[in-house]
Amino acid sequence: MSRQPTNRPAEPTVLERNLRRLAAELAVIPRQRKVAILGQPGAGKSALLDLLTDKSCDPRPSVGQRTDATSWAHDPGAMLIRPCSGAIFADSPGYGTSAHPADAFFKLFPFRSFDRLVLVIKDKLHAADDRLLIGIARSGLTERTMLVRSFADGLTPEEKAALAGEFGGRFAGPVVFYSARDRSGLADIERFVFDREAR
Amino acid sequence: MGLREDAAKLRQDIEDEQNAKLRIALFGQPGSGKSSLINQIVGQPVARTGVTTDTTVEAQIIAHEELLFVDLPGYGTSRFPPNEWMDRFRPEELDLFLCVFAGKFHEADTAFFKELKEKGRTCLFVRNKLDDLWEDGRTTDELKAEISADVERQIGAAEQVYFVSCRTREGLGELVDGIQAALEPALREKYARSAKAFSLAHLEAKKQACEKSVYKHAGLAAANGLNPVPGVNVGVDMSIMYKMFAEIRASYGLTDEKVNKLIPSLLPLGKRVLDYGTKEGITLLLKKFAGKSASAAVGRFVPIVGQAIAAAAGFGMTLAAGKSYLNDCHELARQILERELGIGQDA
Repeated sequence: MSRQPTNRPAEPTVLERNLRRLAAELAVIPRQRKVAILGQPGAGKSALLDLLTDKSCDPRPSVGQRTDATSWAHDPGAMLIRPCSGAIFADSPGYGTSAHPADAFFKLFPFRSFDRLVLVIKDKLHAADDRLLIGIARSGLTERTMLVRSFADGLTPEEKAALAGEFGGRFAGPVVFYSARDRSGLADIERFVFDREAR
Repeated sequence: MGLREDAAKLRQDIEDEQNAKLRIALFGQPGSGKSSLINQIVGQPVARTGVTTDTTVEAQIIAHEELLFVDLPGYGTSRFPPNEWMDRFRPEELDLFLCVFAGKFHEADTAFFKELKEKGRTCLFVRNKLDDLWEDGRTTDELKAEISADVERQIGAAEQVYFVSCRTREGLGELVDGIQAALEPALREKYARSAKAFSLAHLEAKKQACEKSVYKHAGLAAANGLNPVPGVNVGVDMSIMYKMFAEIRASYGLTDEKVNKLIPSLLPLGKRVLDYGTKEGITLLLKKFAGKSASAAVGRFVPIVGQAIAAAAGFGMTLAAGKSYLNDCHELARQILERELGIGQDA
């Protein structure tokens, strides 16, 4: 992972402080399933969380077209984890925006503190996604990671096959095509996240 | 100025104009659908598209008629780190930028746009994949308003956002008109000739732009045309005419493939457009006009009496033939468009 030693402020940013706090908060929660939802901005992380938890999170995750709809970079007291549906969820902000640069995010995000990492991808794989996948593989976290291609209702079977081939070449874990609109793939994600048998 | 100098100058004018292409660059996140958008703007599959990463592996330059599209590769993919990518081209050489996005704004988009603004370049915002825009319990208009507000927040200025879908073709007409309006006046004709018409008004603009080009070519064909066409008593230059016809046809996007797939009621006109597009067809068309515009007597004096007389007759004939061909192409394109717009007579 490349780092840019220049222009890093001596004072930690709000994002950096929040990421450190996230690690601390997770450390004191025993024996509960911890799930992180990760991805580019607008990939559909918050909408997925809302569906996974049957809209039972309080407050509901912030779904919207606005960039940084979910932000950990502005409020030092931002809510980072939410207990709901019997698990602890981190609905992470999209990485790679000006408020959430991928570098700082990947460096401090406590990947290992989670039992499940759900990486949501919309459109094409970006450099940041690729770096994250490589990081996950190197850290031996592949087994607890699922790659979710969102907005899959617009894909033809040929396109899905092409994407499955591409994902397979870059990631050894499970891959699911999912759509918030028609709910396809949601059951697979639920099973993975909660270790539930099919309903 | 003598005829030869005139011809040389005309040829230079035409060449200059055709060489100076209108350059439009598209940039945006990988997968935002830049290549698909190019294909929609020109109305033909000229750019490669695909769902996997880095379909566009290097700055693809796609020339279509007088348009040159620079499909800037998906920056931010592992193969194209942003910095390396930025060094490769000079924004000041491009006439217009389209910032294409299909999701939220990334750091790379905002940074690039600000750089363009500083250099005084014009940039339009295109929210592609309108058909993907969906949120539980919210209307499309609400979502559009939210996106426009987000663009303003990200770049710090209110900019119009064009919402389009390459799949349903929604919004493409507005975008094509918006591009036209954003161009410098001198470039608008080029654009009208080369972009696909999504409205009858655009089709009319296309015709006017083509007509100007016909006048220029007619002058050149006549000045050059000292070799009489067999059966036609006036000197016209066949190769120039052939080229002019091909350009008119291309402006209207009437490819062989498209014409051959026409519905039966349009086929006769379509066939005429194809037939007259060949050298044999042009000869036939000229013979038709030889009787109308040029007296047979003129031709016999070529080149003895004076090249000027022959040239004048040749000019008139090339012009008439060119306009006639333009009318056919225009009529055909108009009928096709009316059907696409659903305002045509029934098939």
